[in-house]
This record gives sequence, C-alpha cells and structure tokens, in this order.
Amino acid sequence: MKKRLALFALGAAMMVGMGTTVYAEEEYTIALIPQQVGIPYFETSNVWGTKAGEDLGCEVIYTGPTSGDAAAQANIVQDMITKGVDCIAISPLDASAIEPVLKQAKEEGIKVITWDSDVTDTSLREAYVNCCSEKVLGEHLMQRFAEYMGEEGEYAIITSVLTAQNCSAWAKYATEYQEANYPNMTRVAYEPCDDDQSKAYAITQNLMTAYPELKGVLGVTTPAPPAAAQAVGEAGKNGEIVVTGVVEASAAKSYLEDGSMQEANIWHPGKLGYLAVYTAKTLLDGGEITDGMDVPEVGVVEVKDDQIIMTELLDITTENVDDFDF
Amino acid sequence: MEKLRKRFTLHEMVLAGAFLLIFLIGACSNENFLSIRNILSLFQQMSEMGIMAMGLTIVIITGGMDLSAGTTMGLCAVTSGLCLTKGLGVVPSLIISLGVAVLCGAMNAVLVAIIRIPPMIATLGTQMFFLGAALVLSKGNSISGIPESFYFLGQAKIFGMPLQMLLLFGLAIFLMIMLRNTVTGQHIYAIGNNMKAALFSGIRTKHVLFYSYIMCSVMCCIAGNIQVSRVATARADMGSAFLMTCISAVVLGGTSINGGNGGIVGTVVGIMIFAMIGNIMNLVGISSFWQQLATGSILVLVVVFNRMIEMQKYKVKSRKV
Amino acid sequence: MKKILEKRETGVFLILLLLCFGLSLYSPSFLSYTNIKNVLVNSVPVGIMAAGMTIVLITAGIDVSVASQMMFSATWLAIFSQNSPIANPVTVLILALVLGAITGAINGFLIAAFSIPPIIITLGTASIYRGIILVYTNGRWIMNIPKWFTALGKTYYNIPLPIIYALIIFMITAWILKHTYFGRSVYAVGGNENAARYVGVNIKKTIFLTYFYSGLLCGFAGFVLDAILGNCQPSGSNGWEMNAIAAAVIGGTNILGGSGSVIGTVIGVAMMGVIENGLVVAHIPTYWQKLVYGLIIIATVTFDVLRRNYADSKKQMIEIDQEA
Repeated sequence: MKKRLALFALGAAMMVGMGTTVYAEEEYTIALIPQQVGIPYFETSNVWGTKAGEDLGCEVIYTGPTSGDAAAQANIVQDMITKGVDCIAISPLDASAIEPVLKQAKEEGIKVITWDSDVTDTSLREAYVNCCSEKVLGEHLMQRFAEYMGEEGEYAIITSVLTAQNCSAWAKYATEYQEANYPNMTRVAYEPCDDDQSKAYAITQNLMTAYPELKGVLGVTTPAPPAAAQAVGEAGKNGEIVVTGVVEASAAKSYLEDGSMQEANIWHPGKLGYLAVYTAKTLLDGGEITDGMDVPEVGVVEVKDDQIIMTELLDITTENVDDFDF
Repeated sequence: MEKLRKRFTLHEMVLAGAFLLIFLIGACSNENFLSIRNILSLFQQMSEMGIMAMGLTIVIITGGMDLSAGTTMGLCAVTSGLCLTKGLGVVPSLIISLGVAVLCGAMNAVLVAIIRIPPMIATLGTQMFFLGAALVLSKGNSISGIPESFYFLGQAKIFGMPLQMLLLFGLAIFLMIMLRNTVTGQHIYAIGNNMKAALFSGIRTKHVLFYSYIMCSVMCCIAGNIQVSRVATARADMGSAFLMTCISAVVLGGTSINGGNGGIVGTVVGIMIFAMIGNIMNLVGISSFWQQLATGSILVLVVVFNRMIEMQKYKVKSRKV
Repeated sequence: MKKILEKRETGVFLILLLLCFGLSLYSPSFLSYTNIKNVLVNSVPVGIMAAGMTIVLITAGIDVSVASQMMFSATWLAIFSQNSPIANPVTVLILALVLGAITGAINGFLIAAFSIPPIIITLGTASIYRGIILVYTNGRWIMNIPKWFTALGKTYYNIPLPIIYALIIFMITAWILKHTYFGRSVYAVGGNENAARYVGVNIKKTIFLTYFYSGLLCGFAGFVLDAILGNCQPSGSNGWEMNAIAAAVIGGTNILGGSGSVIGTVIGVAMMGVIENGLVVAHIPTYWQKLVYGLIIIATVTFDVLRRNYADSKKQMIEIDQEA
C-alpha cells in the first residue's frame, strides 16, 4: 500500500512537472552558437550578443561545442530545436555537416541565420551576417601582407580547421590574389592549427626550420598570428619574417609593440555578434535589414542579396592598437 | 526489498538508482525533457556512443582493452565517405567499410593474441595508426557531398522511431544473446576470468580473442556509418571524443576492468545516464563544460561508493595496511 | 661494456641517433642550434609528465589524468600570477607544487584506499580536474602571463631554462628509483605484488606515494608550460597523457610493471620530439604524423615483447637441458 502511494505521488509529481509551462513574456529566444566556446574572438561576440539581447528585449542563449567537433555542434542545435528557441544564429564548424539539423530546424518553423561562417546550402538560412565579403577580406589580407613582404618571397598560411568555411575561403581568395598580382611570392605551406595556439606556435617553428628562406606567415584564424609572432620573436627574427593576419587588438598588442607582428586585419567581433542578434530579432519581428541601414552600436551595414555585411574592416598597427576595446 | 537483493547485484541497484535520479532531475528541470521529441532525439544522439560502448564491453570482458575504438570509427567513416563520394553505391561502400573494420580488429587481435602485447599499449599504438590512416586518406579534410541515398541510416524513422535507435536495441539483444547463450560468449567470460585456466581447459583463446576484437571494430564501424549518415559528412576525427565516455560507461555499467563479468545491459544504462546528463544540460542552458565535470564525478562517485559498500560487506580489508 | 650494449635502452638510443643522422642529411637545418633547442624545449612538459609516468607504470599502474592535472595547475597559476599581489616566482612555484600535490594525493588516496583499478580512477579524475578549470574559466584562454613569469622559461647564455628544469627532474626521479626505499618498493610492487607484500613492503603507502609524486611532477609541468607559452588554454594539451605513456613505453618501461628507467624515458621523449620535428623538416604533411607515431609505437613494443618472449623461452630450454 505504501509502495503504491509512493509510486502514485511520483507519477503525479512528474505530471505536474510536465504540465507546468513557464509563462514568460512574449520575448524571443535566440540561440547564438559559435564554432567553439572559449576562444577569445567568440567570447567577445558572446558579450556583445548578450548585450544586444538586453537592449532588444530577447533572451540570448550562448552555447557551443567545447572542441572543434562538428557532430557535437549538430547535437547542440538539435537540443536547441527541442528546447523550442525562436531563432538559431550559428557559425558552423563544418559547412555541410550542419545541414541536416538545420533542415530539421526549418521544418519546425525556427528561423535560421548564419554569422561569421556560412553553410553550403544557402536555402537553409535566411541571412548570412558577415564582416565583409569573403573575397574582399581575402584580397585585403593579401594586399596588406604583400606590402610588408615587399611583394616577394616565400610565405605560409595558417588556418583553423581545414573544414572551416570562412577561413578556407579567405585563404583561397588571398592566395588567388597573390598568384594574380604578386608573381614573385610563393606559398610554401598551408597548415591547419585547429584553433589551438600551441599548435600554431609549433607549426611556425617547424616552418622556419623547414623553409629557411621563409619570409612571412599569414594567419587567417585568430589564434595563429600571436602564436606565429611569438615563435618569430623567440627566433630573433622580428621584422625579418613578416607576420600579419586576423587577430584581436588585445591579443596582438604586445606583439605589435615589439615588432614581431606587423599588422592585424580584423573587424570587431563584438559588433558582429550584436549584429547577428539584431538581425535575428528584426527577422522575427517580420522586418528586414536594408542596404545602408544604420544599426545601433554597429554602424552602417551593406546588404547584398541575403548577405548582411558590416562595413568596418580595421587595420591595426602599433599606432592605433590602443583605440580598440577588444 | 529482500527479493530485490536476491535478484540484483549491489552494483545493478546503485546503477538503477543513479539512472532514476538523473531521470527525475531531467523531468523536473525542463518541460521538454519528457517530450517524445526529446526522448527520440536523445536516443538518436546516443546510438553511436551506445553501439561503440557495446563493442568495447565485449573486449573488456575478455580482460582486454581497445583504445583504438574511437579512431577505428573515424577510419571506417572516412572509408565510407570516400567510397560514397566516388560513386560506389550504398551497399558496396558499407561492405568495404566493414572490411576495413575487420582488418582493424584483426590487427588488434594479432598484436594482443599472437604477439601477446598488453592490450592497453597495443591499442594505443593502433589508435594513432588508424587515426593517421584516416587523416592520410582524407588529407585532413572533411568529406562532404554524401549522396542522399545514404541518409536513411542516420536520419530515417521507422514507425516514428529513429532507425539508429532500433539498430541499437537490435544489436544489444543480439550481443546479449551471444554473450549469455552461446559457447563463444561463455568462452569470452572464461578468458576474462582466468586466461591460463581457459587455455588449459581447451578453449581456443586466440580464436575467441580474434572474435572479440573484430566484433568491437565492427560495432565501431556501424557507429561510424551512422554518424556519417546523420551529419552527411565524414571526418577522420569522428569518434575520438567518445572513447573515454564509452569506457566510463562500460565501467559504470558494472563490467569489471579486469574482465570476467559484466554485460550489455549495464553498458547501455551507463550510456543513457551520460547522454541524459548532456541532454539536460543543453535543455536547461548549463554550459557544456559542466558535462565533463559531471561525467567524471559520477564515474568516481559510483565506483567508490560501490567499493565502500563491498568492503563493508566483507569486513575484510583486501590489502594489509 | 657488453652489459650496456645488451640493455634495451641502448637499442632505442641507437635508433634515435640513426634518425637524427638521416634527418640531418635530408635537411641541414635540422641540426641547427635553433631547431634542436625548439625540439627539446617543446618536449619538456611532456618529458616531466613522462618521468612521473615511468614510476606509475613500473608499479603496473597507469595515470591518464596527467595532462588534466598539468592544465589544472597551469590554469590556476596563470590566474594567480595575473591577479594576486603576492605573486612572484617563488610563490608561483610553491603553488604549482601544492596544486600538483593535491591532485596527485586525491588520485593516490582513491586508488590505494579502495583498491580500485587505476585506469578507472584516473579516467574519472581526468574529467573532473579538466571540468573544474573549464567551468571556472568558461573555456576562456588566459592571455598575457606576466613577464616575470615567462622570463622563467626563456634562454640565458644559450641554455634554455626549461631544459635545466627537465634535467633536474630526471635526475631526482632517477635517484629516487635507484637509491631510496620507496624506489625499490616501486619495482617490487610492480614486479610481483604478492611477493612484495610478504617481504613487508607497505603496498598502500607505495601506491599512494607513486601517484602523489606523479601529481607533483604534473604541477611542476604546468608551471613550465605557462612559462614557455606565456598564455594558458584550459582546453588545450588534449591527449598529452598518451604522449607521456608512449614516451615511457618506447623508452623501455614495461607496461605490465616491474621494469623501466628514467634514461629510457628521456630517450623516448627525445625520440617523439625528433619524429614530430623530423616530419615537418622532411616536408611531409603534418597529417602523416599520427600514422608514423602509431607505427613506431607498434614496432617498438612488438620488438620489445618478442625479445622478452624469446628470452623467456631460452630460459625454459636451459631448464629442460639440465633435467635431461
């Protein structure tokens, strides 16, 4: 008899738990999913993205895989679908691995946008929030890099994981631009560092040994340039080997100052995160982002087809590194 | 209560208790946890780990270890991916992938059974070797463009239930019957209990070990193909992250790391516990970092708790102080 | 002289020399001071962990939590050095050893007191220690470790400090194994636990001290890692425990316990560093590395086991002869 009562009470408790719905205000829930949590670049997007949520009255859930595991990212998206979020804003680790779950999201009526990096099948997302077009960024990276290189010599590119769509695209456009415009430069290596700074450090050291004529290292993912600069500095080759790339101002500062890194070319990751959340909220409200619109905190944005582009591309050197807060 | 004590071992009761506890926490924490949708997606996510863990269970029962399980999964995934994208059909690709798995298992078995290298170090070596092979085959890239005809394995639903969930249960039943009701199964336990005694009583230990390691690799191959189908991509690093969780689940489920006892049911319950924890955390919004802490803590707590009770029971310290 | 030639470690050393010779022919820059320095310095953290692992393996145990313990120590050290007013080289070093002692003691206690197989406990504690630092830091990297800290990892008068640290650790470990009661009990427990017990060795104490020492070394390795890199990635150094185990095993430590030496481990560590560097120098794409590592481990251990089996069967033949 006692046992029966206990079981019944248990069942009742479960039913009550199931039945109680949380009646929140009609605020949207937006899942902001980075490629990997913990990387400073994405952490800045997190801070600004959450701020955007507060400014706009939405709940922003920031969660992502703890390593470069595309399947884990897919699992997280699936759980967000179950949770019933209103919009998923994701920077996919692998442009095609994420597509099946995004299809599921679409079927459930959840809005999907991508930011920072895109998917292959663009029909699966309503917008791609980007810092600037990939071709423009790739070419700009190469232009600045080549200027320091004197437009000649051997160089290497360090990327994140080989499957990260954004980094691969920038590297591709940069290399194509070099081949078209700087025939005296040769790319001798293209290595992935898996967004691991100690790997990038070791890769640079090894490259310097393997290619004694190496003249420059271009890092297209944020952990790479500081690590490369550290290796170059320790080898005593400040200035002899050019280091530039995509890296935040705070990470680049000490290396810019001691001359082991020449320049950082980046956009404000926080503003990108803010823009992503802003776009999500606008789309959920049924509106749209238009070309030339001035988004608060972010600035003027361009819109090309379904790409929403922040227009501020920054070149950071020792002269202006203190002007930035990221 | 007495009846329960007679039917189930202590470890099984503790395990069931832990399972119920986590389940209740899940039910109370988020209204979506008990939804059919979530339960099914939970099973969809855990099938890959579950199948690998079941394969590991067999090897661990023989008193061995297979650290290469994760990277075997990756290698089979890459093999499938390459075959599929080169235009071979679904069935030929699966067969080739299975063939690779058999080779991997055989390689492990040769090292362990014939050359008699301790399984831990032998599979440590093969773990790196298989990963290396997968990386070389895929050139470090992920292979996308998996044809839609392959999607059924990881994305289809039969009577509303994910196909891989049915596969998981089907394989579980198959392995349970194999372990309990066939001669090979009995031999597997015997080898785990005492290798020398098994040898002297006429058991062909080498054959049984080959069977065990190959079975484990085949399980990993199935898990790999399911994942390839689910995310429509093949990568060399698939499965590497699962390995420690799977081993933990096997141990949590009651299989002794020295071999000789344990079973499939415990392993499946163990995997379910870990999968539920991850699921609950995602639903509630707890950062995924807590998951690692939780997984390790549960393993240590359950194992130590069990041991404490055991030591109390027998009241004999196993080692003199 | 013959004794030295017959030793297992000599064989590995010769292979190492051959490798280096071959690589230097292929690429002259391999033997340059800078390159050798880089290879050695980058191997120091793994080398320190491998030294502790050697003792653990000799007792027929295993510790897969070494990398997590190292990162545990490294993370707290990085935070401490940046935020605490009393942070200076001495306090940081003391903190490193204290943290290592705590994590090692927890492992040692759980394994010794409850007689639970080391693989299970260390598997669990690996996740726990890693989980703690990840939760606290949210995975954020800790950048800009103070200059006085990184100065402890730099090179002075052409001698890198990390190498000195590693040498000291190796010498201490070798001394412990050879000249202390603890060292001899370690071999005894690993060789034949029952026999050791009957001879009066305190098994529980020996096992506890083994993991305690391993923890101490991991704490120190965390200190060295921070000094070398200048920043700390709490989610980094994944899988380094396998490197430590591999280094010890390649160097001749028997994974079933009972034998092993620090010299062997040192050679093992050097070998692994040379292979990694050699592949790049030889312009082989980095994704071939794992394949080569795996083959080398399999080959080395196979050779080892076959040699042991052969030696064992030889002994048996002598017995039969005598009986006849």
